[in-house]
Amino acid sequence: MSTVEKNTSKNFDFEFDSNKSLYADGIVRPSLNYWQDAFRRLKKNKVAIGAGIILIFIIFMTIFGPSISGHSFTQMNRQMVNKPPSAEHWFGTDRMGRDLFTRAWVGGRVSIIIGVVGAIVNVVLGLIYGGVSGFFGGRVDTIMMRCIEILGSIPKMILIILISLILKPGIPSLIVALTIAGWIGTARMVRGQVLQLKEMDFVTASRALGASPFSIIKEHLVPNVMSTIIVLTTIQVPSLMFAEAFLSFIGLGVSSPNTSWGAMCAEGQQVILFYPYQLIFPTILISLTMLCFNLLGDGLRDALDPKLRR
Amino acid sequence: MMEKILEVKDLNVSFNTYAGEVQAVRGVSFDLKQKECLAIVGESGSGKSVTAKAIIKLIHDPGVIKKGSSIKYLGEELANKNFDQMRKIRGSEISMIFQDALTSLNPTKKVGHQVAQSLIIHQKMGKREAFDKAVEMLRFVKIPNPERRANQYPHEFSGGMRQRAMIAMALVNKPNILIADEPTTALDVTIQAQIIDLLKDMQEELNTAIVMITHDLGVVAGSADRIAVMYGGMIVEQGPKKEIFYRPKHPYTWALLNSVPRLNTKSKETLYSIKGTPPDLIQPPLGCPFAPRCEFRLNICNEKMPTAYPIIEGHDAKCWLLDERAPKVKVFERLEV
Amino acid sequence: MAKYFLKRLIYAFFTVFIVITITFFLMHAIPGDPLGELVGRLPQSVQESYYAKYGLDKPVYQQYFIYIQNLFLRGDFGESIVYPGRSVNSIIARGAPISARIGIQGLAIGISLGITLGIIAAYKRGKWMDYFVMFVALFSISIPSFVFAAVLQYFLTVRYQIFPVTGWGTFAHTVLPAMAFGLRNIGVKARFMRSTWLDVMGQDYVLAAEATGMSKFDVTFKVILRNALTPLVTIIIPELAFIFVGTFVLETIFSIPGLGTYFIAAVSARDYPMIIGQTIFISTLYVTSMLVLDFVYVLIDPRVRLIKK
Repeated sequence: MSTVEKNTSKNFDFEFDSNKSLYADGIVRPSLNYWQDAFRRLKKNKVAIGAGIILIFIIFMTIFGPSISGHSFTQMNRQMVNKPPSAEHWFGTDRMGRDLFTRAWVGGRVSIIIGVVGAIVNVVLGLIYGGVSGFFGGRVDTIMMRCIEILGSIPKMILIILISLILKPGIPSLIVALTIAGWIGTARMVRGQVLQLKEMDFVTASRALGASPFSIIKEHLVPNVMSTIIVLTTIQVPSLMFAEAFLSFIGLGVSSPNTSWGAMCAEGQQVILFYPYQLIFPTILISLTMLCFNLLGDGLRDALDPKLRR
Repeated sequence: MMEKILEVKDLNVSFNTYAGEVQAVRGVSFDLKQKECLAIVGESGSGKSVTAKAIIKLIHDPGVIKKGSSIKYLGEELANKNFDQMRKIRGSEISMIFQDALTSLNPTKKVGHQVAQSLIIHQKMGKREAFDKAVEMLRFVKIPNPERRANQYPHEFSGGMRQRAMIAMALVNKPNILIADEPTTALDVTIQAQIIDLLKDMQEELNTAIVMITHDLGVVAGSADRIAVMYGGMIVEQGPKKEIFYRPKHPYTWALLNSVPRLNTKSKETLYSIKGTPPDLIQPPLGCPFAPRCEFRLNICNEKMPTAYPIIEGHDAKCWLLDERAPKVKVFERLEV
Repeated sequence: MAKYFLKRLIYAFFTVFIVITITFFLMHAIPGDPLGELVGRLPQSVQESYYAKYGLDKPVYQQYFIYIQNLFLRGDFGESIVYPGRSVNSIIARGAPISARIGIQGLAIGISLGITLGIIAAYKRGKWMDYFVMFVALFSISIPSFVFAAVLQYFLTVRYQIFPVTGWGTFAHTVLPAMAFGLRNIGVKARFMRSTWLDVMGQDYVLAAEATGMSKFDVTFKVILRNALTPLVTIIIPELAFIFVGTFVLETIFSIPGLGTYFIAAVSARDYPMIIGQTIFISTLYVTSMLVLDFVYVLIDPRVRLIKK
């Protein structure tokens, strides 16, 4: 309303508001749906966004990095053994004269693939197992949880070692070995969440209305554990990369000439006294990647579950 | 005229969240007289609980009691006191009980020891003596078999018994003021009545004044002497119980009273509900916070918050309809269904 | 209550038994000759005497029963194939205390510093101190322990010769591996403690305790710490068993003759009795620690006492 109007009508202020739209929510902040709101919160988190950008760059480099160096990652050169970083070899060369820049990105490819694929497998397995166990409850739950307890009582690293001893070497076997124990935690968590959700009134209500178990899972349980799943997947990546590095360290990881950051760290560690640069680059890369995944995971958790935010 | 023991003036409490500053309490003023029961009524998010906690300064980071707020207890300003000075008042002069006794009692400590705690702190009693006194207090709040109960943990108590233990804990030092934050909300209806009765008995016997925070007008009807109605972080109307129940002046109070289910309501009528949602306290409206939901909204309501219009001694309301320039609204009939 | 613990005890025993079975059959399912590398080097007659000695000529299920018998009746884990005459028991007896020492020292560093930092961060929530501690914590979690080990080794032994590079014997030898092990733990504990502390701090009973006029000191130590203890114990006790695994790589890097070094050596040489024996040993420790956890739970949390009755 304009001031002119106010003056013409002497008692305008004390007339009933002709705009009869009551409960005008328009003046409050626009309401966003869950994902929009989460995205808005994520965007505000500069650290998480920064971590995401670094990750995209690293992933980009693992795809295109090997081709810009002009060296193949398997190409050996007896004249160029253990050379420090130079214009020709940006990260130096290893004891077989292979270009470490190229190898670093090829290794990164392996590490990240193992980390990401492993995390997805872990979460999917855990989701199915935990979901079934929690949803059906009762005896099924008891038996399924007992199995998990037994599997969980063998230390994860030992289980991984045992499994990788049985399987033929190679990246798929590595993923199998690494995920054999990793899904347990996810399964337990999903089960806990499902048990909790099951008791919630909206689930009871739809069950009372005769909804099938499948539709209840689809309509109510999955959307509610979705945020947990996304966060879990992100924060599992670094732990899988770590496990892979551990296996490479004890000689059960990827086999030469293929490599991974873990394997490069292991090789570099052996010559730390003489050629520290061989350790520095894979170390920085693996640490930075793990840090970024963790930061991104934290950011996602804060964004997706405002209740958890402190 | 009885002596005022608590005077709250222009209380402002804000919470600095990542979404912005939430102005939970905006300029609340009220008095409490000796032996009086003041009920602060409002829906969730109206700032009533924050007001209650602010009285004994239990507002924690990120919440702050803003400068200029005044909380006078027996003429003594509490707003400037630091933690250690407040400590001497909490639990001895002013006590507080909370909505859910299950979460408000320490799960790892025996109930008797929890009740004894205040005695040890404020009366410098020995452990043994305090515990015996605590047992007495549990008996006083009518917990059967108090000797055995005192040695149990909170989770071994039923809901009603827990709330009784909570009350025993708060009243063990015979405080002048008891702040009861939704003391019956988490309880069954039958237990609610018992707890309200217990609070009334205690008020009689110990001469305690009560600030009762609730959203339940049934609770208010049973216990309060005076009522303050809160909306959007402000007190929109306050007055003696009878005035508020029979001569309410604020449209929010009308709506609130209308939404109480009654037995004599004709069966075909649907239960009255207040449409819309409470205001966003991050961006509080310039005008009256209730305006967007008010059926009698004037143009000015959108722009300016009215000051309190006195009705009679002790009864005032913040509503433009009470201005002499405003059209007269007959609403009273609406209430008498 | 006694019934509950008896039940837990039986479960634990059952679990160990299944772990033994799984490990045993898993290891015997590995393709290739159980004598591994030795096969090529040994004459036929010697090979056969080996087979007889280890019972490898018998069917797997018979070997299993012999193994179980030896294990349960005599506590005998068997004998190394790669180093004949070296019993698995003696290796465990020699290696376990060494690993335990590094692990416990590291855990002590991690727990004490981690908890302190976590509590500080909780109290300084939203302040720069909080962000700083949390970033350091995340940083320490994101860096593999062997990287720490390498960095420590490079600076504290190669550059400034403060500590011995590798080996075992004196306290100085334990410092670097324990630090490397502890650093990662600091991050984990700090993050955990911060969230637990904030969780407890936000409970109504803390507010109610303050409302009785308790001092800040009493609220912190008698109410918050007491209630934050339960979740903390829950994560610390299982770790006591895992210290043996957590130090594996560190032992290799610092050439420490602990359980990890022997285990990794056994893995590289495919020395099955050694692998099986150590796996069972560590798993049993883990199951036992979970059992202990159950007992401790009852001691520190009265709520559990009621449920388990």
